[in-house]
Amino acid sequence: MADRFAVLPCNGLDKPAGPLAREIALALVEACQGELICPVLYNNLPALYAKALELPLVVIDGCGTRCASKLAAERSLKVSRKLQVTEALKEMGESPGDALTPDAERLALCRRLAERLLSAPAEGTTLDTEAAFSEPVEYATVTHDKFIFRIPMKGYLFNENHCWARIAGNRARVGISDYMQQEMSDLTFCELPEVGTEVSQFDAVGSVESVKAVSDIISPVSGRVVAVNAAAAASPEIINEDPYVRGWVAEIELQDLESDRALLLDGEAYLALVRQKAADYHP
Amino acid sequence: MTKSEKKVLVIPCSGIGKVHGLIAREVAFRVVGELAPEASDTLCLALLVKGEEQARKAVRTQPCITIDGCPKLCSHKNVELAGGQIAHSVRVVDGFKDHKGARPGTATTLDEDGWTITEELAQGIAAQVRALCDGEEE
Amino acid sequence: MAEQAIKIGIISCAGEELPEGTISRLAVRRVLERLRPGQTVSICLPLFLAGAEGEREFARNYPTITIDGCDKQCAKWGTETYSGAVSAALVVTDILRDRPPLSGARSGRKLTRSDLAAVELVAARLAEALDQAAAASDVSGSVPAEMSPSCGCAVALPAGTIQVNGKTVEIAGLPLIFRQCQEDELAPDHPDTGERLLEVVRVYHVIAETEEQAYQDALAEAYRAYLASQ
Repeated sequence: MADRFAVLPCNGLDKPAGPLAREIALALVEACQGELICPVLYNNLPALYAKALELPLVVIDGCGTRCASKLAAERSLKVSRKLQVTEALKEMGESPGDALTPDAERLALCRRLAERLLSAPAEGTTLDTEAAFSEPVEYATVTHDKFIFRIPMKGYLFNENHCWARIAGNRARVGISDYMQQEMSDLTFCELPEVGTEVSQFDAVGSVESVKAVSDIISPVSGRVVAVNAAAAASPEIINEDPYVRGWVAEIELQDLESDRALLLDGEAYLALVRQKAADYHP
Repeated sequence: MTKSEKKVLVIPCSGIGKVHGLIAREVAFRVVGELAPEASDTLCLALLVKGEEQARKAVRTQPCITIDGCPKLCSHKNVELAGGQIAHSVRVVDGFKDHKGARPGTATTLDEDGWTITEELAQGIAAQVRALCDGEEE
Repeated sequence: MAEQAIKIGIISCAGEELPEGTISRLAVRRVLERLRPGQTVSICLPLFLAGAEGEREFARNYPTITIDGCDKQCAKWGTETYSGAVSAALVVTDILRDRPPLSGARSGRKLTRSDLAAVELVAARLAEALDQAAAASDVSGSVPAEMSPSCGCAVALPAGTIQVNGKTVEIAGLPLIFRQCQEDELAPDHPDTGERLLEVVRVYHVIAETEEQAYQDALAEAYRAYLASQ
């Protein structure tokens, strides 16, 4: 089951980053069915949130004043994950804007930041591995009529079930390909495996459902599930939007990549497969 | 019954390629035709994108509820670009969250599950329409 | 040799304000599913207007028919604005002019038999327009599948190959690009030749920034070989 969190945002009212912190908190609480903590009420009546604070805590600050972080420190709360909105937006090449009411574009950014918080590195994942999974991807494309199917050419291995594994060190993230997500159309549900599950190559490691079909996600690699993408379960459309990076489903600590590799396709081989399949593509 | 002359505009995406677009469309018709006909109306999204002045004026002066079949949000984006005031933005995919395993039909015709989801979404939007109109009365 | 039939795009309005919008939508679905299955591609107008590149690119490069509910012709306007001329533009109100008036129903659940007969009539006219567009298309008949490159622009163009970093890469329209450069008297040894070729090729082919120099060199070499073979 995906993690639940208690979420403590700042209460910034007079700068654009404050309302954004609130929107991120709301999105995160909805996605993980967590508990939202009002900083003003908590400051006055901390006992009200004693139950909620049994959950791991996420702190969201709008700006560098870090009011929410300071409140958590004053109350000696253990913080599991945190986000400072203006810094995070800057890393993305974005800004909080000028308006106190977030527009649609900024609301979308808030949802992405909430996803990022949900998908924060698993315990034991090194920063280098996380960075490796976040590196930009180069794609080749296959076009059939108006449909464009993307295939990453480096760093990914595929099975013939249209599932991919992206390797970084002794870890792999897995998910479904662009061809598969288009074939399935808009996903409505994504079932995740349990963290700790041992998987053999070609075992099911979760499933996706759309109005057209339910399909198992067939793991290209063997190993142990060390993390799952709760954001994908909460908002399966992430898999449609970005199947190869944000749309990962599970992270697996690899058992025997060299043996697994022998039965997998690299980017070129998968490109050839998609070319064949595209000719029969009828959504 | 609202005293306001400004009806709420319910604007679906009507995407032709997926069942979600058909549901968006049928939801809009159910709301403006049957559930809240005196308080709501619809508008051709394409006319708005084309820049027709009457359509642009309407979305700027009347509260809008957009209904999008999929997360591409064509209706929401285009109404927003035209300067429309979007009171609520509804996504049909969210209507499926309580209907695991549903088989709603095709982009041409809806099956029983599709009509069930349509009705649920329509009832929710009709309530939003009434709330918007009641808000104006105060 | 496997062959691939040319497909015709259809963009329909689905106007919510008039019953003709529903007729238009249903007629397109009828053509897609029953009258001409596998021969058409429906293009989603809202997605098209919102900027979906796959939809717009298809309409740019394939014959495309529009069908509108009324004479405001939003689908025709959108196609001409974002992709180019249409092969045919149908209007439902024109097609149904001599028929009894529609019931006024917009929901699919409430259409009468007369409304459904109107759908059949519009679908039949749409199928005829489709057949005419296919026959009149510049690319006659069908295209050998092996001539279809992986880029989205040019199913009908012949492809050529170059060697980039030891790998064989297929480029859409390469022989025609070389022919054009030859007609423009682009010299193979000119210092700008590689860059010029790169600029044209990347319209049809995704090239990663890190590989630009390799592509430039490979294209220049291939162009030299092309000229030598003429």
